[in-house]
Amino acid sequence: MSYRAVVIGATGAVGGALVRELLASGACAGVVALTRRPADGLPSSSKLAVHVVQFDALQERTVELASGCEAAFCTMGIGQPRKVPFEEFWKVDVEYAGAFARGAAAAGVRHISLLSSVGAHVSSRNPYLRVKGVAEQIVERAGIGIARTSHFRPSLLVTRAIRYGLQDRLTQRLFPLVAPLLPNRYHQIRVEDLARAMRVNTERPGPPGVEVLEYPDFMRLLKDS
Amino acid sequence: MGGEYTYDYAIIRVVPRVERGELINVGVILSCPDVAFLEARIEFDPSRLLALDATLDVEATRANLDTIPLVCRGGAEAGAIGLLPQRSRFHWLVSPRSTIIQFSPVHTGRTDDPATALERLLETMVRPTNVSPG
Repeated sequence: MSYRAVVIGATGAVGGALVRELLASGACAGVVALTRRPADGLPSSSKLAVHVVQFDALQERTVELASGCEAAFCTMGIGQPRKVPFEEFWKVDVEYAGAFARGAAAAGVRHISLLSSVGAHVSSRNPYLRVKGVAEQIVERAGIGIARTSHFRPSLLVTRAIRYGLQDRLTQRLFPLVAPLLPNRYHQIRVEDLARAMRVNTERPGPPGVEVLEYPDFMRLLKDS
Repeated sequence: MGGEYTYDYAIIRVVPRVERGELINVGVILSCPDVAFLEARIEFDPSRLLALDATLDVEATRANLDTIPLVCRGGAEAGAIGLLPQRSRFHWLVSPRSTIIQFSPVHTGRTDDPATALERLLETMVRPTNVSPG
């Protein structure tokens, strides 16, 4: 199987790791990254095309730039939702995700993978999980051309660098201590492993329709890779 | 972000002279697949459009706008597009285009009643705001 992929969110921790995974994959013939700002941290590669895009026209730009791509990945999201107005969180996590998915569907993408969150549900009492649930729903409804939709629902993402100050430092230190006491769907995962699981899942045949993947599924994918 | 159902909507706009980019909001289309709701409502005021372009073909514009609710309702009356599934008709209608009739980017919300949400959007986004004389 050879495919081309379009990625939105490549300047984030998961998206950056995913782009590296895709570039290293023999099956992936090319990667198109759509970003809001120049993506200085991404490797230079003849397989990678980075496009800085005005997100107010994200849907039509995606239609244009995702042409020829079979797979789409949305790893975009507000890193610290509590630190931005709710409207901004909604715009990025729901409306931009929806615009990207609709554009990808119109461009002919057949498989879309969304970075969501464990516990995501449209009716959750937790606003963060409710927004993630709506994002899943909007991506599922992006267009009938998309045959397969994969929602990735990790718990804590472990990164090499501390991204969000003291709170992030404490969470990254303390969460692994309590995680063994929690159901395994809540186990933390390194962003590089999650990115690999997303890539591997795309490169394996999957059932049409919507699939939800959590930590045990990530581990299975990594074991099989 | 209250409400039980997720909906998408876009504002319907008329851009009499595409090269100038000036536009008037003339309607709203709203899709709520949870309750199989797809409806467009047009509130067409020729005087507002003629203020932008006195040469606009008002009747042709009105006729083209009238096809939008027709496509929303679906069925053979709306031609081949009318036979597509409801959600596909929404996607087809709101896809970006550079014609006199355009749609805004799609936005998303939550509601308990899509018809009420549609009415609220018409009030806030389409109907002229009443300005008291100074």
